[in-house]
Amino acid sequence: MGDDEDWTEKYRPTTIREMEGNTPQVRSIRQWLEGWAGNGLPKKRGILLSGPPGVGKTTVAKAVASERGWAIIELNASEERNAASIRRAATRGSQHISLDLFAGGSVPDGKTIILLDEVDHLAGGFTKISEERIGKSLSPDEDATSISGDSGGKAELMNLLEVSKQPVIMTCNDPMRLWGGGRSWRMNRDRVLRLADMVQFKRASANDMRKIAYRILDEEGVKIDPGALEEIISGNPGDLRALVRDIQAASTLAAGFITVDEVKGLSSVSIRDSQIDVFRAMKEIYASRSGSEASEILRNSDKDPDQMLAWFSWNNLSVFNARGLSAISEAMEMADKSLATKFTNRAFRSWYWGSALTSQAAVSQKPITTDPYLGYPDFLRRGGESWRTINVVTTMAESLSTSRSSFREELWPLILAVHDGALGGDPLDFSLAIKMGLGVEEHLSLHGIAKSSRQGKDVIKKFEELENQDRIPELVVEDSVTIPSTDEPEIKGRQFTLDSF
Amino acid sequence: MSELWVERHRPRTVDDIKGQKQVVDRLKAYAEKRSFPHLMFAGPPGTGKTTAAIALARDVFGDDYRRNLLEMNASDERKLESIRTKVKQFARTAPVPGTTFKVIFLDEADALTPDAQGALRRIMEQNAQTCRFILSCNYSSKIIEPIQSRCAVFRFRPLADDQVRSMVVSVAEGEGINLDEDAADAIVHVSLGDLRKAITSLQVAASMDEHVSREIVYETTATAPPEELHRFFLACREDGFQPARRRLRELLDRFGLAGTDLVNQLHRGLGDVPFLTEGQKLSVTQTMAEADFRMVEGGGEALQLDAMTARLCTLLSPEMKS
Repeated sequence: MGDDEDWTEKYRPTTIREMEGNTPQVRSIRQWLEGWAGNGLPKKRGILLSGPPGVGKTTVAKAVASERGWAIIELNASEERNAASIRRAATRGSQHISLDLFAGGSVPDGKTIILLDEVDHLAGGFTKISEERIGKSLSPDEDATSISGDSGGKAELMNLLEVSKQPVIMTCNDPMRLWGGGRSWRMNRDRVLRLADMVQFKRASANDMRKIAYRILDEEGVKIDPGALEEIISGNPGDLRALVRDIQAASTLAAGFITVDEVKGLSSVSIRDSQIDVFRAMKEIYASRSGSEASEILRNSDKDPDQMLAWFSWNNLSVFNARGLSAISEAMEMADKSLATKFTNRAFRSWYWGSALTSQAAVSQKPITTDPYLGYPDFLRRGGESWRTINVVTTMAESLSTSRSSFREELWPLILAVHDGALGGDPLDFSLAIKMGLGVEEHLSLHGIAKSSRQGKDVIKKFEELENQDRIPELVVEDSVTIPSTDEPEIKGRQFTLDSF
Repeated sequence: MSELWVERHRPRTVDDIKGQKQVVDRLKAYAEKRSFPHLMFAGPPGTGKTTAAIALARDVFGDDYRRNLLEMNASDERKLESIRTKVKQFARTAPVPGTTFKVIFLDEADALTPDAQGALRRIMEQNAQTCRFILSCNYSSKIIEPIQSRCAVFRFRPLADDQVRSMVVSVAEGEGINLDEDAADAIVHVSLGDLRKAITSLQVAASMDEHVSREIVYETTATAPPEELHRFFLACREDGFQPARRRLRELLDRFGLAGTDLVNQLHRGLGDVPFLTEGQKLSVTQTMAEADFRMVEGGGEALQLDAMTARLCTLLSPEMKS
C-alpha cells in the first residue's frame, strides 16, 4: 500500500482519458479550447465550470492543459485575490501573445491557461477599484495604500475576461455565490455570462465511481467485496474525492481485502454532512410521542437549532392543519425569539430553548405516522443566512462604525425626518441611500412604502436603472470620497442625481 | 489539587481512550501506520475530539510532537488573512527531520468564516504531502461541503451514561477519593454526556470533602436533584401558588441557583413528569422559555420566576387537562 500518500492526489487523473463521467461537458471545454489554437481568439475568453465538489472541475482544467502541452497558472482562494494581485498575476501576463516570459514550459505557439479556482470564494465585490489605487498597489514602494483582502477581485475578473488573450478557466461550486446574494445578482450573472460560457458539471454516476474504485484498488493490490463497494458508493453520492478518501480509509484497517463489515463499521462513524438525512430525522420526530425523545433525535441530527427551526417551520406548514399550526405558532415564535437573543445577548444557552420548543411543538400534535411530504425550506436555498434580512439599522450602524443603540437614539430620528413625505422627503431621491450604502429595500422602508405597492415597484425600477448606469464597466471612476474600509462599495461623486422632479 | 483533573487524566495515547470505540479502532490503525489522511472530528463538547487529535499526534510523532503540530482554536486569530499567511506558511515548510509530514489542528473549525474555509481547500490539497489537517467542530453542517469532501470524517457521539460513570469512578480511584454509588450517578446526571464536565464536577465536589456524597455533588454543581424538581411540579399541581413559590425559593437558596439555571433544569425535569400531555408540555416549555428570555433580556429575576410559577400553576392544575 502506498503508505503516506494521499490517494486523492496520487490518483488525480492527469489526462482526459483517465477521467470518468461528464463526457459532454469535457467535450465542450475542448471545443472551446480548440478555438484558441493557432492564433485564434474566441468571442468568449473565459469558461466557468460549475458543479458540486469532487466531480473533477480542477482536474479537467489541468488535464486539458497538459493534453495540449499548454502551460497553466493557477490562482486559488488560498491566495490573496484582490484587484491588484489578479492584475499582477493574470491580466498583465494575459496581454502577451508570446508567453515564454510569462510561464515556462509551454510548447511553441502554445497558450497559457489561467485557472481561477473557486471564484465563488472571491470575497470582493463587482465594484471597481480606481485605476489609481491599483497602480499604487502594484508599485512595490507604496505599501501604505495597497489594497487589502479581496477588494475589487470580481471587478478585475471581469476586466480580465474582457481583455485576456489567454484562455481563462474558472471553477465554482455555487454560481449563486459568484453573482452575489444581493438585489443585482441577475445583472451580475448576465455580465459574467456575456464574457464566459458556463458548463455545468454533474455528480458522477455510480457506474463511473465503480470504475474508478476498481482501477485504484487494482493498482494498490487491494481486493474488495462488491457489496462493500456499493456501500461506499451509496454513502458518497457522486463525490469522487470522498469516494477515494473512503476507500483509502477502509483499506487502512483491512489487510488486503475490504469486507462489508469493515465499511459498515466505518460508515457508522464517518457520515459526511451531505448524507445526513434531515428528512429521516424529521419524520422520526413527527412520528414521536414524547418531547424528550424528539429533542434527543434533534440533538443527534447535526443541524444547529437555527437550521432546525427553519426546517420545521417550513415543513410544519404542510404537515399540520390550520388548527394545529395556530396551536403551535406561539411556541415557534418563542423559539425564534430565543434563538435571536443568542446574537443580541450572547446568551448561548438560549439555543437550548430554540430546539426544545421546536421539537416539543412538533410532537404536541397528533403523531404523524403516515409518510408526510417534507421539503427543503425555500428560504435556505440560496445558502447562508441571507433569509435573515439585514435591517436598516444594522447596515447603517456597521457602515458608520457606531453601535446600533447610539445609531438608533441619535441618528435614526433625523434620518426618518429627512425621509418623511410631509416634510418634503422624496422617495426618488436616492442620494442618501447610495451615500450610506443602503439597498433599495431599505430605502423603501425608510420611506414607509410597501415593496409590492405600485409606488414601491416604480422606485425599485428607478433605483436599478441608476445602479446599471453606475456599473457600466467601461467607466473608470475616480475615488472622489475617501473611505477607510476597502470592502465597502466605493462611493462615487456624480451619481446622486435622477431626482427627476 | 493544583492541577486540573481533566488535564491530568486526559488519555495520552489513542489506545488509552475509552469509549468512541468505532472511532478509536480506526485511529489506532492510523497510529500504527504512523500516517493518516486529513481528518474531521465532529461531535458535541466533551466527547473527546481534542483528546483524540493530540493523542494521535503523540502516537505518530512521539513526545516532542509539539514541534510538528500547529494548534489553532477560536481564541487565535483566524480570519481569511491569517489562514492565507499563518496556516499556509506552516503547511509549506518542511517537517521536522525524521518525520514525513506535519499536522495542523484547527479546533472549533465551525467558527471559521466560509471565506476562510474556502481558502483552506487548496492549501489542504496542495500541501497534502507535507501537511495533514485535523479539524474539529460541533456541527459539521457549519463546515463547507468541499472541505468535508477532502477529509475522512469521524463522528463522536455523546458518551453513554455507563461510560461516563466508569470513567468518573476510575478517576476517583486514581485520586484516592471515596465516591458514593449514588454520588457517581448524580455526576452522570449532571454531566449530560460531557466527560469534561463530569470530571470537573468530581474535582469540585472532592475539594469540599474527600468523601463525595450525592448531596455534595448536587450542591457544588449548582444542580437541583430530579426529585426536588419533581416536587415543585407536584406543588404547582396540587398545592397552588404560595406553596409552589416557597418550594422554588427553597431550591434557589439551597442549591445556589441563578434564575435562568433553575428554569433550564426545571425543563430537563419536565420529561419525567407523568401527568402531562405533550400539548401541555409545549405550553409549559413555552412559559419557561419566555421567563428565561425575559431574564436574559434583563428582567427582574424574582418577578419573572413568580410570574412563571403562577402560570405553571394554572397550566398544571387538573382542571386544565381538558
